[in-house]
Amino acid sequence: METEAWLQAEIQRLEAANPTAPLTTQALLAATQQVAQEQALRIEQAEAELDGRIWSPNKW
Amino acid sequence: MHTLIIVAHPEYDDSSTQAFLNRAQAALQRDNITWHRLSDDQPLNVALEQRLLLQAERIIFQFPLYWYSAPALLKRWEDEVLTRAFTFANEQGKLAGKQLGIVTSLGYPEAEFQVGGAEGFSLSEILVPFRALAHRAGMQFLKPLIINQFAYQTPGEQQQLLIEYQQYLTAPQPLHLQERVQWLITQLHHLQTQQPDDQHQTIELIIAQLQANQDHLDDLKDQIQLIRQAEEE
Repeated sequence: METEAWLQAEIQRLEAANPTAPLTTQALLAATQQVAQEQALRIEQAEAELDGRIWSPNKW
Repeated sequence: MHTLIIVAHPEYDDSSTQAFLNRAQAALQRDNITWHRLSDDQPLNVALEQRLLLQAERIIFQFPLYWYSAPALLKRWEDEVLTRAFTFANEQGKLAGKQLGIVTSLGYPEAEFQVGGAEGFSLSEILVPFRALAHRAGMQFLKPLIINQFAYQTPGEQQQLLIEYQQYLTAPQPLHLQERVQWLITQLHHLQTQQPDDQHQTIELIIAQLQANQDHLDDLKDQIQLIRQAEEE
């Protein structure tokens, strides 16, 4: 979560530094934010699945 | 990969959608995309049109949906340019192995194009003739990019469309998260060359973290896959 927050902050910093950027640049940065969110969600889900499978009571 | 966009819009100059798409493609690196506008004003040079097709690996038909089909402009082009000897894969047609994509814009809501909707037919059904053409030509048919009522889209939706369109032109298809990340990294590198020096490091850090996230995700998926296999054995 910390990494994602940091990454989002960096992207926002870049957006703030380019207030008059063309639409194509704005769209690229928005897409980067969206993909970073998606990566974070999938990492969280995959880690949860991995935990669940490793700690399955069937193996106790 | 070279992409050829065949634009067929009878009122091209008045189309805000086409102007938007044109700006989107112009922002990409220009050595691998050809924006080819069809026009009623001049007779078709079949040899030239076929040469353009031969140069491309991905061919996009781009048009507004007119009466559940492409405008006559594109149909005439198909009838004249796609000769049997040039097109039929089983007769050594020249298009085999290439990709065919469709970018079409709708004047009615996309949600109505389905059973029970006001239009009653899905876009997959309506676009079957293009799928059949790709099949006959031995081409890979890409999932069409549908532009839903462009004039009613919010700025956020238009931003998303812009990226989806650029990816449709230049990214590997089908487009999974991994390909989307790699595509974005390429574009961020391109952006880096246009930005002042003080922003280079920020962009570099963003790229590195996107790549690290993807590597981590791939590693997690590999581990899960191994455990799943072990559980099934």
